[in-house]
Amino acid sequence: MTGTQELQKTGKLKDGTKVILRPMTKADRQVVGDFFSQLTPSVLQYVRSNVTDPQVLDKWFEYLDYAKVFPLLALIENRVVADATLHRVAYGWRKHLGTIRIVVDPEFHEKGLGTLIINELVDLAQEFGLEKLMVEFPLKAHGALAMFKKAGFSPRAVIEGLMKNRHGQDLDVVIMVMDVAAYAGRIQP
Amino acid sequence: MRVAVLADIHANIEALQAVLRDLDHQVDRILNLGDLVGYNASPNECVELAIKTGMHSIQGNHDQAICNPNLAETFNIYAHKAILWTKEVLTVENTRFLCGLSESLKTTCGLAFHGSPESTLNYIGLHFQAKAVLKKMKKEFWGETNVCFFGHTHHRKIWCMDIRGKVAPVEIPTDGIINLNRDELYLLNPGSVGQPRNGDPRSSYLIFDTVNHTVSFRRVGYDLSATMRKIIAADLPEFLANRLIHGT
Repeated sequence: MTGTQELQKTGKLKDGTKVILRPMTKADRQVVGDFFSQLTPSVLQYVRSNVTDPQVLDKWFEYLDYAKVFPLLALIENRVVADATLHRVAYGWRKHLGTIRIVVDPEFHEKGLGTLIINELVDLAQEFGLEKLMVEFPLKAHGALAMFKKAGFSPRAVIEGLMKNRHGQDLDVVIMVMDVAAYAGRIQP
Repeated sequence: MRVAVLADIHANIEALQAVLRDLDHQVDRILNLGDLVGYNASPNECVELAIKTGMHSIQGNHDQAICNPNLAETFNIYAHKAILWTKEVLTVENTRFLCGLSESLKTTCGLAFHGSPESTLNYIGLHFQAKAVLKKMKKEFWGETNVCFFGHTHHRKIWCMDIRGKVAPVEIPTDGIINLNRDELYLLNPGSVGQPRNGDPRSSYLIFDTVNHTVSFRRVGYDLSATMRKIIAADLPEFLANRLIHGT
């Protein structure tokens, strides 16, 4: 007997809105393109690739490899409202370490969406056998700092003036780390 | 008395059959530390074989999720999909069996639970987690038993608390045989039968000899390709099949 369920879960935002969490597939090219195209330059400046370039997105979708980069989408009524990735390295000194990148539609900031996604990525990291998770972002992103702290991450380093914003001004970067195994031990029924 | 301790069978009938063949009537009792189902594609076969062999079973978190839909919602998307599929295919009798299991077991050969004494969801993976459980064990059960079995992590492991109260992991020798000291407390994890995560794809379990106070960790190969084919045929995620090759 084959399964009738999709590889997806339903979560709820603080206001009760239902959100679908599922891995990105090749069929999502259009909705992911729509998501990035409506984000402002101030949001997109922190994304590592030029996601407004269709060729960049085409390449992403051509080379989907969940073992290297696990892409997780959050959708509300078939509209992408957040895109997150869990990056893994198969060999070497970073094999135990996953890194997280996340872009949330500003319309859904402070509604519990980021926390929902991060919690899912932490659970997946555990499933993939990762021991630690790392994330880096501008120190002044106070909302992100609070969100990752809430999910069990702690700030381990601040590097002053490491990055630059889109206007060429220096940005301090915070590196936050989570011990996945220790976090799992704190889960209560 | 010789007791075989099995954990995290996870609906892998080929692995369970291979372990039972390896036991070949060498033990007086079989203890199953929970998670008979989840992840793999033979839940009914595993539950029925567990019942048939008369093994003493307790509930794991995946077994609990069959009976508690709210718990299933807390699983990650892979485990969640597998548990929804399992609920769909499990017979009423087998569902009833899983839901009727208790979360822990106190036997003459030791204590048994899936995750921690408090919850099937908790992990004992790090030093502070092992220390907390051993302290509780010393306070509540010292004099009755000095051995406690747990699963859930899918990693074979021994934690020991010596007479000073110092907690440390014990290295498992290559032959897998350990002599336990009756003055010390032990937490023993046999590893997983159906989804090992130690980097070795073979099924892992242990035999505890209550007379000689020795533990023997064992590994058994099984027909991996048959298990993988069933996972794919059931339309469960390929990731669940592929991880079995690597034992991760």
